[in-house]
Amino acid sequence: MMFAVRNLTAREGNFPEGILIQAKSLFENGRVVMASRMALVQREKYGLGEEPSVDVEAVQKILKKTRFDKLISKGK
Amino acid sequence: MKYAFFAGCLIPAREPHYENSVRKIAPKFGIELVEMENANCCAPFSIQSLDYTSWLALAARNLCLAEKMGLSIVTLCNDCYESLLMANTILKENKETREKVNKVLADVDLEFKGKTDVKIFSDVLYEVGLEKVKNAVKRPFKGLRVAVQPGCHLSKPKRLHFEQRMGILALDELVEATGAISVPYERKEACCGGPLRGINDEVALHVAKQKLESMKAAGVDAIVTVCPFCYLELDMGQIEIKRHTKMEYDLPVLSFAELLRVAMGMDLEEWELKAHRIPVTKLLNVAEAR
Repeated sequence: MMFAVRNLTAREGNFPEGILIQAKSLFENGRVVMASRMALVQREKYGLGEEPSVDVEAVQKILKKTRFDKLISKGK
Repeated sequence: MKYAFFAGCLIPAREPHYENSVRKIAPKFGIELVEMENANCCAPFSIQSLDYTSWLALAARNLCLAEKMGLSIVTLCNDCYESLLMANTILKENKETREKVNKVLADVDLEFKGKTDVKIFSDVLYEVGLEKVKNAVKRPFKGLRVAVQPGCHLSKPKRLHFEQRMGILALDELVEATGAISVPYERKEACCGGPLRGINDEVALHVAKQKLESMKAAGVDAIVTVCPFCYLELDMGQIEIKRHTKMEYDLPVLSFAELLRVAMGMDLEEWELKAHRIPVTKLLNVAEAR
């Protein structure tokens, strides 16, 4: 119920800027948080390799189908 | 035991020391972490607030990748855990929703079939068995008083966790298997304030402060969590609170994986120690001496 109300509000373009930043990153990068330079250095030191791979094209196909791209373009 | 390893966004990007500890201890318990290639963000509940179907479809894509691997998912992050667990439960139980989401997934040649499960790393360890965990401990944190910070997402959905003794209950017992004492405190199941970051930082910090005061009142030496958001909020939060109010809590924050790793006799590297804003060195030395 709460999510339905929030979704309706979001469709009017009402959502916090912090959430909009996350949503845009999700659409553009397939993830909401991107590694900092320091984290990449640490990953190399621990032998963890680069950040896990992500199929951005697949993410964008899904989010275009659900019209998420249109929704976040309304962000104020 | 093989699992599809879902690292999430935050841990690889901000807390690689947490991931490193998990990768060091997992093989000692016969847990094999198989990388999930090209997985996307879980997606978090902030996305659910914007559009329920988008959230569910993105979570479903990750679940489909695990199905293709023929494995259950193990996550390290509470947010990823609840998001994927909820999506998996909803899609398995609700045919109409499953059909709707599968229409979206058809565009990326996937179909949710309901053949995977979702676990958090602490629950996997709990299934391995408390005795095995206790036997692996070489340097017990004897008498160390710990505030376990489970994080909101470790207790939902309630019916899954409390019937099967997972989540918070399992975490308390795992922490005590290292020799530490999980000290009860008033605001244990309350939010850390982290989800309010970027929305209202002032309120986020106030919530974190309430939590830290509750822990301090219980007389703990340290905070142990499995949630990367709680870790950031309570570790970095203490620095911010000190800057704004001069209040100093001096409570080191460790991930449970780090606590267990040290108890198993594997030291943290210099870079890992530096990743903690509230120094943990004194705590680790004291624990070793007890």
